Amino acid sequence: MIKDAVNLEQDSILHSDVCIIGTGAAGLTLAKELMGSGQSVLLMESGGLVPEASVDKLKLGQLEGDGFTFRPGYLSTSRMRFFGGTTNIWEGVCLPMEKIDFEAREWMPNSGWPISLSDLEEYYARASDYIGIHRHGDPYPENRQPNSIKVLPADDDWDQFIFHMTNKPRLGTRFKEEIEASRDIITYIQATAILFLENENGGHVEAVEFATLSGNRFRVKARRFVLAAGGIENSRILLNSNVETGSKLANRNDLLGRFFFDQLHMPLGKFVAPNPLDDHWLFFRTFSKALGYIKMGAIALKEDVQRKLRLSNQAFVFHPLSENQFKGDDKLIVDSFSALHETESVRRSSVNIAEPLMYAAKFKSEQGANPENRLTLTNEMDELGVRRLRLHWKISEEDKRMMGRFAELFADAVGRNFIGRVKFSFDELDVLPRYAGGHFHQLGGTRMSSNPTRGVVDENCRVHGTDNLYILGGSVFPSGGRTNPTMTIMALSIRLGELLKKEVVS
Amino acid sequence: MGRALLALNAGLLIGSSTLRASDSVTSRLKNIKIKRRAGEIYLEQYPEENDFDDLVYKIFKEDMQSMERSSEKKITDRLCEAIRLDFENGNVINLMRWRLSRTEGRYFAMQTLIATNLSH
Repeated sequence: MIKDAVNLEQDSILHSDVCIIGTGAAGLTLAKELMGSGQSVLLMESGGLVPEASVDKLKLGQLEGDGFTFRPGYLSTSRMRFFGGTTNIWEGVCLPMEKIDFEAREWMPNSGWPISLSDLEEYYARASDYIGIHRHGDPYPENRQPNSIKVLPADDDWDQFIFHMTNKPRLGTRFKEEIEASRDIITYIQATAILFLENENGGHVEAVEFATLSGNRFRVKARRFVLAAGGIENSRILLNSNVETGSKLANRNDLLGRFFFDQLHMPLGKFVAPNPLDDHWLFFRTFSKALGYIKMGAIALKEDVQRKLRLSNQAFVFHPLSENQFKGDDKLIVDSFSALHETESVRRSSVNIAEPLMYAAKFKSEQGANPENRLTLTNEMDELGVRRLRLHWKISEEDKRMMGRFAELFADAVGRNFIGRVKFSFDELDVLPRYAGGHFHQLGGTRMSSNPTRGVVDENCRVHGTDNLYILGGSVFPSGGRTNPTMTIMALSIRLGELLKKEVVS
Repeated sequence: MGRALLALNAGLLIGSSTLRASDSVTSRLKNIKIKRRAGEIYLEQYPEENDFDDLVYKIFKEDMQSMERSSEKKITDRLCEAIRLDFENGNVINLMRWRLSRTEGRYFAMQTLIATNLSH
């Protein structure tokens, strides 16, 4: 059932086996996993069932950039505070992270997970089933659906792949009926977690204090707490608890809030291909009747090439442009290359000459984890008396260098293969294009490591030095690769659900 | 006139997708004139290459006299191979933000130089 916390008596104390804070991709997936396990679950949501302006004010904060401009609304337009969380604006891209993303790479500072891709593969598959998407890498239901695209020769340095976008990404809508009907789960809306209260000696969370905007306060006592309030909010609630109670919960080694990062998003520029690329339509968002949802293509460097060149994990996606977006000097270059390509393609008995096709290419790039990119608190309080956050975040020179090199490699690959030419959107990466910035994939802050001096949570998402507090969401990522994080968040949630169920049995 | 013929071949290869062998000499010349700008920019970036004969040698590794006797196919083959090698070896330039092979830039410069001569 779903209840409104506004109707609770002041200073009530609620009890459960598990208290999950947050109803986004992590919280809902975990709740669904615990259904029927025999454990009582309290599922707590800060907002209501629909967005409300008064609740949205709680997420306002300060930004401190360094050398580039944050994209508009970086803190306020994402981080949705109502049932379903940020899946309410999720684009729906479903991809597992890659093997290399979990590895410690010396050229990517502070990279490496204490688990590997093989530890998550089973859970990625189950996450795919949860949201009704084809399991990545499995054969398609019919042969006509290609698994890959072929822009560059197969023996080149590039990995060309298809990914899926679920057409039902709103997990709140998808799961609400089931969660509401569950006997094990009681959902409270309008219930914002404001303080974690540890026992006297530390190491165990006794209760979490909640507040409503109507002025109500109450506590939850549970055997286990799972903080799944979002990539940024997870750190904020714990930092606020540290300040208010004087504890060092989740922060015994001054790591809480540090190592924030995002996946960098930047227009590469324009890419012209004189002949239609083979299966070029696969680059674009294409609705597959056979699958029932959208597919899209992308290009990335193969993992062994990334290792050899010591580059971050990055990918290009493409969008079609109309010919009139090439004028003046651009048109000259396009025409010139087209003629040259004609002679070469005729010699190679390629496809018939057609009008040049133009694509806008954008790339998503992994960002290196830097302890100085961090979330802290200001002295300003929000409407519930919680300190507002400050995000200090910059793109390093090394991040920029790797993006520039990646762009050059792609331009040279299409050049030497007579596929096309690239026009960059920048002269120098020091002056980033206007649309550069994060991808609203807010990661890090409570990073995972098996070593308590290097991470806030262990490989099972349990807070180091605390026996009953777990954290889920993008905040536990020690490094993020270039893959949209939601599938990984869901996979980690299913994995934790399995662990919590096993602990009860034992 | 030998230089003009070579430049016209260049125009065929890299000048415009709309040019065909059947196009009149006048239309080819007009097209080359339009395309002077890219070559001008290249020569601003690399003023030391402002020499037609030197550009021919740099691109084809043969002098003007040899290239004037070359077939169109041979010019094409040489050009495509030079471009491929440029990209493989990192011999690339940024011209008006376009990532091009050095050979392409030199070809633009050749067109500019011949068009300038013809207009005089």
